[in-house]
Amino acid sequence: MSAAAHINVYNGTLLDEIIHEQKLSRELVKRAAREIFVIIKEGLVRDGVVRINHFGSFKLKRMASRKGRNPQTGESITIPGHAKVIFSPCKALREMIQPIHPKPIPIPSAEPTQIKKNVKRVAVQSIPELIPEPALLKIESEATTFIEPVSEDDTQGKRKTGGHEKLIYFGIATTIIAVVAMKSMPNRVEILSTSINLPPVAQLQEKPVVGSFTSPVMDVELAAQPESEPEQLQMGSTQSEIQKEESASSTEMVTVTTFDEPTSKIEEVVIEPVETSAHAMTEVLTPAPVVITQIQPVNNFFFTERPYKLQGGNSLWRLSKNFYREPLYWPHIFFANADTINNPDKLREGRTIIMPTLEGEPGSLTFNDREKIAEGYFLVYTFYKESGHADAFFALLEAKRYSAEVVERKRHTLTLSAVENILLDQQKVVANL
Amino acid sequence: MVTKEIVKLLSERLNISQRQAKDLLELQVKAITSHLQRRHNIITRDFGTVGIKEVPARRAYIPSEKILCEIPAHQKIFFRAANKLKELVKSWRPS
Repeated sequence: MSAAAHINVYNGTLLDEIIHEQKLSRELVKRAAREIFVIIKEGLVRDGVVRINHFGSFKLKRMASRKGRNPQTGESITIPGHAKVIFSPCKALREMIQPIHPKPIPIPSAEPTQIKKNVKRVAVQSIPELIPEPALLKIESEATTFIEPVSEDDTQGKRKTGGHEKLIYFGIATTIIAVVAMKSMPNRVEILSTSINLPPVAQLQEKPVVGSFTSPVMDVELAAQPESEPEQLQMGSTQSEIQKEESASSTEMVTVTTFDEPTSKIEEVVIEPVETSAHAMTEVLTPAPVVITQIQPVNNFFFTERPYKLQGGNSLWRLSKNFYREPLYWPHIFFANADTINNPDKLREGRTIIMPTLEGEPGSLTFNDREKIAEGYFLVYTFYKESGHADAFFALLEAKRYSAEVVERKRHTLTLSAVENILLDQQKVVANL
Repeated sequence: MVTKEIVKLLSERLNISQRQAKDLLELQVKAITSHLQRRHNIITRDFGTVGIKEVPARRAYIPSEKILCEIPAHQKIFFRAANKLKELVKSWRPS
């Protein structure tokens, strides 16, 4: 069925149908047809609108002058204001042409605002991996080393309020001052603010030294401190040094070494500034909890699968052109509906077929698209071959254009002549179809 | 102008009854719509062409709902005015 057939109102089939139906004189019907359209013209000029029952209405609309361009010369011209005839068909006629008007289908995946939000959330999620475990303050000396892990509850609140690295340096600075003060007092450290009752030296446990240390490292359980804040006492090297280590795992560590000679007795050990600095450091470094939201996969297919009810005038070529913008993909529809469509050249009106998914856009098909279209062309080839179509072999060539693998996979089932084999071998796969 | 006025004018000009004029108008409309249903273009000299065109699928953005939609392919009735009709209504202005 061709949509380009033209019917003249004053002559031909249309007039004959009326005459045959009502057995009227040809002259009367012809005159009536002429007069009807003359009256419509007059009505348009007079009222600007003509309404005809069961057909529609013709309206005039005034268009303002605008600037245009001559397509032949490219010159800018001014199109003067004029009236335009608009035809709006009545509902009955519209429904007669298209019984079910298709409604727009929303594409949720392509919503721009949601995508931006998701991207932001992804950036936030990556932060906890980079932020280290709760920081430890480690003070090493010949006689004493304090390792004071701080609980996460204390640190989270500070992080929420927005801590900065400045606080870390402040803590380090206060630690240095404390160490200098300790160094000035040989073999004895006194801190005024807090006093810790240490167990006897006999309770100290010896541990093997790791690394370059030669002296044993000793742990001391402090009786004055609660279990939530354990402190460790270790023996370190003989030289005074202050180190700040920021390793790849971002664990904050400060090492303070004092005393020139190793000591066997520890009477009072405490560092007031250390306590404050340790808290400051850990409060800053502990991350705030981040809510992780799962991002849904985005479907960016060019065309998503959906059913379609065949209408009069439909053909696979036209359907492919309308839905995929490329008529050459019509075997893709045929392959997806091989059970429904017996003959691709003759579609039955009223049947529902499935318009298959096209992942890539026309001109940049994906691997799956190419495979399916090639399969479709192969199916077309087999159908045409059975029905004795003269151009069946061209479908096979097309199949190889889309995917050589599909043809090679099924080549052993084909019975081709020598010339056809040569032509098929010469056919190349085209990258962009 | 509505159908009733067209019928009245038609009967006056053809010297036929209004009933006959109405029948003739209805027959004409019926014949045109039946051809439109068969996807034919109806050409009327010095008036224009009525036909059906296929609108391909396209994507559209609905600003009120802020969503991107795909409008499926559909068919549409069009009217293309003839040059003489265009000339006739060129200087028309709404009263």
